Amino acid sequence: MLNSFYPVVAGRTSDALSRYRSLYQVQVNRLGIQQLEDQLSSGRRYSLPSQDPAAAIRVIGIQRDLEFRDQTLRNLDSSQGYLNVTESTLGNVQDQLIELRGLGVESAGNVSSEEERTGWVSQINATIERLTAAANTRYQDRYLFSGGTVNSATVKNADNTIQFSGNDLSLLTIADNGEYIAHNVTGQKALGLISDGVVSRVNLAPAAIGTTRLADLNGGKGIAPGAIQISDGLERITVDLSGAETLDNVLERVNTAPTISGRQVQFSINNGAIVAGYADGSPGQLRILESGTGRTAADLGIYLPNQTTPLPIAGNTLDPVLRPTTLLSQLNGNTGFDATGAIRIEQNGKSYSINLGTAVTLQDVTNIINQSGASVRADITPDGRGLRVRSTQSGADFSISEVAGNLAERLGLRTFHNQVRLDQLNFGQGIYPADGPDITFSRNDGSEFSVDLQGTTTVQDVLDRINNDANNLNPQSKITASLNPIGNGIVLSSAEYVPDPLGPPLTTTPGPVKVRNAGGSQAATGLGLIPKGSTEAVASLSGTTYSLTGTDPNPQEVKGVFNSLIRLRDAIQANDTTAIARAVGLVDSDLSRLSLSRGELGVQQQRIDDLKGLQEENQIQLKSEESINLDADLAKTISELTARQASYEASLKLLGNSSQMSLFNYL
Amino acid sequence: MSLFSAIQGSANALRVSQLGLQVVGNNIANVNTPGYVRQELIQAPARGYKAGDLVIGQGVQAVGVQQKLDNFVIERLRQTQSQLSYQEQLEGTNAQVESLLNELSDKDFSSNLSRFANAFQDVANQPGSDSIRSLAISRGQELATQLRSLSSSVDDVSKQNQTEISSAATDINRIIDTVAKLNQRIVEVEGGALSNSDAVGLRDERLKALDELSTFVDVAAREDATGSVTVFVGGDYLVSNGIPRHVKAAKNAAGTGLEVHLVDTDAPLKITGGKLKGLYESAETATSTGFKGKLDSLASDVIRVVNRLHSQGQGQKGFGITTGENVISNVNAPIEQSGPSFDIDNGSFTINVQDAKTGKTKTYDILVKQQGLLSDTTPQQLVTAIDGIDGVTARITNDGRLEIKSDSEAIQFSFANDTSGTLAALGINTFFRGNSASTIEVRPDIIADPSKLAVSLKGVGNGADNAIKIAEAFTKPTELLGGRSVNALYDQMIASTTREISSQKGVTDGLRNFLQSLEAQNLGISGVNLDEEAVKMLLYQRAFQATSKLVSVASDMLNTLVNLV
Repeated sequence: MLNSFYPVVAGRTSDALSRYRSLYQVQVNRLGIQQLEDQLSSGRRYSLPSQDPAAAIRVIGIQRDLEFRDQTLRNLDSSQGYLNVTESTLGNVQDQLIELRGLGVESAGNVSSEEERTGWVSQINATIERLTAAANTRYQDRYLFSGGTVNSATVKNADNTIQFSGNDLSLLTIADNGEYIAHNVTGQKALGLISDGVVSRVNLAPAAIGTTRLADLNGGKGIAPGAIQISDGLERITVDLSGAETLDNVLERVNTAPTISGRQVQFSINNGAIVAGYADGSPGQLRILESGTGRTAADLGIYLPNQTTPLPIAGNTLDPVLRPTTLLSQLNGNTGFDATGAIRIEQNGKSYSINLGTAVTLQDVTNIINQSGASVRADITPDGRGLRVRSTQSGADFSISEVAGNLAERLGLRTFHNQVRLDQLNFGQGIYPADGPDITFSRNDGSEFSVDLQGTTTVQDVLDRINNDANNLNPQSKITASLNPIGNGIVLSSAEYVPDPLGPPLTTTPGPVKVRNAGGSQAATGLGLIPKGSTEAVASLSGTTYSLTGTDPNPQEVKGVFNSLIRLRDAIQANDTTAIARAVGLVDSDLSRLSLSRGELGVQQQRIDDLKGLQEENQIQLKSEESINLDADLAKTISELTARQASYEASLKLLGNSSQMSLFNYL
Repeated sequence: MSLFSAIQGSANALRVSQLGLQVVGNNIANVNTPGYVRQELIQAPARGYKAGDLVIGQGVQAVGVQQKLDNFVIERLRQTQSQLSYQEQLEGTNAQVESLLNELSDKDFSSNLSRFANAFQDVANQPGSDSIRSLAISRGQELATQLRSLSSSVDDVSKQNQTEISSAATDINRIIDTVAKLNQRIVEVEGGALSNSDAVGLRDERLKALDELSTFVDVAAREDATGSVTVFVGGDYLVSNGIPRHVKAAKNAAGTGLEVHLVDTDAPLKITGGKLKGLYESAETATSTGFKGKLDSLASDVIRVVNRLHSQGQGQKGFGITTGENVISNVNAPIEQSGPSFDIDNGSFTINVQDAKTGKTKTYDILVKQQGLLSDTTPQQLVTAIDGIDGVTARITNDGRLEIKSDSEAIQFSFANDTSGTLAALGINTFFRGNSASTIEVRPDIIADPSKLAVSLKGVGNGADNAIKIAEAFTKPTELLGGRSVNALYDQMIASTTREISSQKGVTDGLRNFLQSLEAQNLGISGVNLDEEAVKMLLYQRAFQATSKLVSVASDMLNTLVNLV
C-alpha cells in the first residue's frame, strides 16, 4: 500500500518538489477513490487474492465448500426423486398384494367352482403382469429395482415363472463429507427376487500358497503392514514387509535379507503356514519378533519370541479367504478338492446335471454352475468362507442334489442333507408329527412296525430312528432308510422276502415294502415318503431289492412377491387349500417386507430432508463466512469514500491556492 | 587605487551580476524540466594588487557555475530505483499469473476442479445416463483445457520476458553509448577545472542517462577528477571514460532462457537488481522451479490420482482391445525403471475376461513384483503373464506400448483392484493422458465412447462406486497423494503463490515509499525554487544597480578632475 502522503524533507524545498508532491497527492486520492468505487460496484473488499491472502485463501476454501454443498443438495434432490418414485411404486405393489391376499383368503375358506378358480387365476395373472411392469419401472434413465445393472430390466417372464436379472448392489450418492445415502432399493429387498443362498456347509479349508495375497489372510483381515525382527540371540536383523503383496514377496524379502551371524534365514510355505529355519538346514536358535509395537509377525503366524522346538519351525496356518482365483488344489489344507463328478440342480421341474470335473479354480466351479441353464447365481459368499448358490426364479422349486457320488455333499451345497432340521422341511412347515407312532412300515414279510419320531430334530435322527428301531433289526426283513444317492429325498430299501424253511410259519402275507402315516401324523408325507394326496407308498422291486424313493422334502424357493403370487395361482389352480394357506402366508410375509421397505424408505426420505436442511443451514453459514471474508462493508466503504472525496477536494483546493503564491507577484 | 581601477573593478562586478542573473534565468527557465539540477554561480573576490603598503581588492569574479546536488542521495536513489524496477517487473509478472488463475471468480481453476469432481457425483446419481457420463468427460476436458491454457499463458509470459531481455540489452547499449559520449564532452568542456560541474547541461543529460540505466541494472557510478564517470555493474565496468562496453542477449547456462552477456568476454552480467533481474526471475515462472513447476506438479497429481482410480474401474462395457498411452523404453528392466514416470508399487491387479458366448467371467490375478530386486517384474514378463490368459493376447507394440487384445469379438476384458499402479503407469484404462499441465488431455477413446468411462467397481456396467471414489479424491485425503486431497494440493499451491505475490507487493510498495523519500530529498536539494531565484534575481539586480552607481560616481569624479584641467 502506498503512503497517502508524500514525504516532506527538512531544510529546503523546491517548486518541483511541491509540484510532484501535489501530483502525488492527487494520484493517491484518485487511486483511493477508484478502489473504493471498485468495492462499491463489485461489492467485494478485494478483487485479487494477493490483496488479502489470508482472507482470500479462506474464501477459496469456503467457495469450494459451497460448491460441494450445492452438489450434495443436487445429490439429495436426485435421490429424493428416485426414492419418491420407488415409494409410490412399492405402495402400488402393496395395494395390489393386499387385494390378492383377500382373494387368497377367500379361495382358501370356501368351496370354489372351476369357473371361480379360473377367474381368480386370471386375476392373479393380470396382477403378476402389472407387478412385472412395476418391478421393471424405469425412472429417468434407469430400472429402479435392478440394483447396479441399471440398464437391464429387473425381471422377465419365463416358463410361467419370473426371472430376476438384476443384482443387490446399493447405488450410493454423497450426502456429505464421508456420508453416503443409497438412492435405490434393490429388487431383492423390496420385492424378494432372489432366494436365500445355499451356502457351503463344509469348511473348504483353503491353504495359503506363495501367490496368496496378504490381504486375503486371516479370514480376509490381512496382516498389519510393518517389519519383523529376526534374531539368533546374538545378532538381529529387521526385515521390512510393508508393501509386500503376496506371501512370495514376504519369502523373497526374508530369504534375501542380510545374514545373521553369517547364516541366511530361510522362510518357506508348507501346508498353508510359513516355515522358518536357516538356509543351510542346520539346527540353531531363531527368534522372530515384532518391530516396535507392530503385529506383523503374529499376523503371519510366525511370532516366535522363544524357540522351544528344533528348527525348522512351522507357523500358524494363515487362514486365507476364498477368492475366484483360489485353486481347487489349495482346498482342504492344500490336499486339494476332487471336483470329479457332477451335481444336480432341479428347478421348475427341470433337472440340470452339472459336471464340475474340468474346474481348476473356484470361479470355474461358479461359472459352470451359472452356465448350467438353471436360473441360479453361484458365487463366493461375501465373507469369503464358502460357495453360495441362489435361485433367481420366482415361483419354482429349486434344489441341489447328487448325480452320483457325493460331490454336492462335499461342496456342502446339497439342499437335502442329513443335518437338515425337520422343522425346516417343506418350506419351513416341518413334517407334521403327531403324538404316538408317526410312520408305519410294512416289511417284506407283510408284518408291520411303527416308528415314533418324538424327539427327532434332524433328518439323520429320522434315519437313525428307522434304522435302529428295535422292531427293525431282523436282517431278512430290515428296512433301511438312507438319503437318495441320486437326487434328493429318502430311500427305503429292503431285501425281497425269502421264506425260511426252518422258521415258524408266517401269519402275514409277504409283499412289497410299504409305508404309511400312522395315526394322525403326516410325517411320512412330510418326509417325502408318501406323495401328497396318497395314504400309502409302495416300494418297487428291482432284482431282489425293494426300493422306495421319496421326493425331496426340502426344496428351496425365492421368497418374494412373484413367488407368492405364482404359488397362490398354482394352489388355486390345483384347488390345494393347504398350499393356498401357505401362499397367503407368503403374501403376508411380502406385505411385511414391503411395509418394512416402505418404512425404511420413509426414514431415508426423512433423513434426506434432514440432510437437506442441514446442508442449507451450512450454506447460509458458509455464505455468511464468505461475506465476512470477501464482501465490502458498504456503510464503511461509503463513509470512507465521502471522507476520501472531501480530502481530495481539499487537496485540489490547497494545490490551487498554494500554486498562486509567489514572490514574483510582489515584484 | 585609481578611479580607473574602480571603474574596471565595477565592470567585473557588473559582469558577475549579469552572469548571476543568467544563472537565475536558466534555473527559472528549467523550473519544470524533469531531472534538471539547479545551478548556482560561484563568485569570489578578485585578487587584489599591492599599492604601496596596501593591498587593494579588484572587486568580484565569477569562479564557475555549480550544480546543486548530493551525490550520496543520487547514489541511493539509483540503487533504490534498481531494486524497485526489479520488484516492479516481478509485480507485473505476478499480476499476470494472478489474473490467469482468476481466483475468487466463478470461472477460476478451483471452480473447474469442483465442477469435474461434482460431475462424477452426478454420474453416481445417474449411472445409466450416457449424457451425464458425457458431461463428466466434458468437465474433464474443460479442466485439461484450462490447465493447458494456464501453462501456455505462463509460457507466453516467459516468452514476453525473453523478448524484453533482448530489448533491455539494446537499451543498455544505447544508454552506455550516451554516457560514454557525454563523458568525453564533459571532460572536454570542464578540462578538470573549477567547480567540476561547469558542463552543467551535459551533466544533467548524463545524470538522466545513469538514472535510466539504473532502472535496467543496479549500477554504481564513480566520477574521477576529470569529470568522467566509470559505470560498474556487479564488478564489471560498462563505461570507462569514453569507452562503452557493450552487452548482448545470450542463452543462459541452463539453456532455458536468455540473459545479458558482455560482448567482449561473453560472460554474464552479474546483476543484483534492476528490471533485468526482474525479467530473469519472471522468466523462471515458466520453469520447474517457478509457477509453471507448481502447475505441472498439480496437473501431474490430478492425472495420477484420477488415472490410478479410473484404471481400476469398469465402464459400461469391457475392452476388445486397449493400448497403453505411455511408452515403455526398456522391456527387460523392472517396470518401474522402464519408463520415465512409472510410479509403480509392489502389488497386483486383476483382469476379468468375459465371454459373451458362454457368459463366463474369468478372473486373473496379475502379480507385479517391484521389490527392488533383480527378479522384479519386467514389462516383458508382464506381457507374458497377460498373454497367458485364455482368450487374451498381449504384446508390446513397435512404438513401445502395451497392447491387450481379446481373441474374439465375443470376449471382452476389464481391469480391477490394481494395488501396484501398473495400469495407470502404462496408461491402460486411464482417463487422462499426458504428465504435465501442458500435455494433459482426456483420452480420445473415452471422448469418442463415453461408455468407457470406468465408473463401476463391481463389474462392467454395475453401479458407479468408482465415480464416487474419483469425486472424493478431490475432497478426501488419499494415500495416492500422500494423505492429501487434490483440493488440498491446489490450496497449498494457491496459498504459497498468493502469499509470495502479496509479500512481493509489500516489498515493492515499501521500495516505492522509500524512493519517494529519496526523491523528495533530492528534489529538495536539486530542484529550483522560484522564490529563491526571485530573491537571487533581486540581489543581482541590486548589486548591478550599486555597481552601476559606483561607475557613475567614479565617472563624475573623473569628470570633475578633467574639468580642473
